[in-house]
Amino acid sequence: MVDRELRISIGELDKRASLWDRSLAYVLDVFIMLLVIFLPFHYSFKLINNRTPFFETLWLTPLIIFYFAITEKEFGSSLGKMILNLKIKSLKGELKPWQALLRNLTKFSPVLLLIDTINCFLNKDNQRFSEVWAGTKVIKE
Amino acid sequence: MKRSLKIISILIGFGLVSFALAVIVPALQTGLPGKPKVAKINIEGVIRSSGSNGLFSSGINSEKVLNKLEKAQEDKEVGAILLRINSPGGGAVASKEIAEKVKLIEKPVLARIVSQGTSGAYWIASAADKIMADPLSLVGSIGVTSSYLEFSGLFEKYGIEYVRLTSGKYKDIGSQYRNLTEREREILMSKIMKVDEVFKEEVKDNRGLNESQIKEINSSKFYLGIEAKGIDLVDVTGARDETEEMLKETLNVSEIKYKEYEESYSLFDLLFSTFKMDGFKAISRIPKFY
Repeated sequence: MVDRELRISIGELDKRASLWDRSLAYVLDVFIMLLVIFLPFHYSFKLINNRTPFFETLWLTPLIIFYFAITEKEFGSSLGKMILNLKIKSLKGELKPWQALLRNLTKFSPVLLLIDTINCFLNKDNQRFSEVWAGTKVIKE
Repeated sequence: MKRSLKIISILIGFGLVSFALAVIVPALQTGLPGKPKVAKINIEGVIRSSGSNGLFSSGINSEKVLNKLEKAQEDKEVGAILLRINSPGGGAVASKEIAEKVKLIEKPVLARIVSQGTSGAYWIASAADKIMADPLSLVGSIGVTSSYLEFSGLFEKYGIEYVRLTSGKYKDIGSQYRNLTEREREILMSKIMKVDEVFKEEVKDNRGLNESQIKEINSSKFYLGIEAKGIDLVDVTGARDETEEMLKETLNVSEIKYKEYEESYSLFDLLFSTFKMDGFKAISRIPKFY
């Protein structure tokens, strides 16, 4: 009984991440991805094929999802979130790989991500739809 | 492993995967190496010399065909070339230069005559390693013709006079404003016969025709594909499926993948090609193979 009450009280202590922090973290992640994913691809492609990649950039989409999924599973937050002291919290115990993957699936399309984000304005924990489905939320440490 | 080291490892890993994708993606788009493709080059409509057609005009520009043949020759992905021919022929020089280029190609070249491959178009086909024609296609017509409209009677009727000022007596030979003299006709005919001689000699060499076959084609008549096969003007009769089978055999592959080279048009082509259409070029003294 005591344990249960304790857990509830810890849960209440979680500070939800503000939309501003989350947006800034996303911009930082985009910048990191630009440096480690897009630029190496762009310049190597140009060097090898003597032309600028255009539609070929779509092949990088899985890497965007994996960047978020791997860093969040491994460190509890992506690098952008890490800088702003944000953390992913699983509502089902420890964060599992499928949760890390599911909460980032909509990031392959800006339109889907935008639709997904609408829920942040409606949800008390600022959760996106995919975060609700994955059972995760972003908190400020 | 220390956290910072882990982060750096992951970032380097992503960088390496990106680099690998830059190498792999073009190969995935064009097919894996080791499976040669067939460069498909269309020769459709009247064959013209460079600069005589553009985006909106009909026919085929020999310069563009030559460029495509060069690309196909240099392209490491390409194992064979398919010339898809549907043309009544065209200019002597334009046809000759394409045929000469085809002969220089070091890869197997297959010519497929779709519904018409006559005159200059046949000259080009004859330079290929194999000719396949639809049984009902029109093939042959190996000869030269040059024609133009002559308006002197019309001018006379309306009282229009052609004022002739030339430095030499044959300078305006073939002018549509006056009748040809007998001597002029002889001169023009001798040029036509000379081109005809070169044309027939080339076809004879390209196809290895014997004397009786030469005699047959001397009349410059056209044949149906099935008839042309009987006198060795084509190697095989068939359509698309048969062509693919032949290409599969040539390249020793189970599936044929084509590669086409896009034509590029300059702004000049775009703006002025409409003024270069057939109607504006009805009168010409250059022998044609129609």
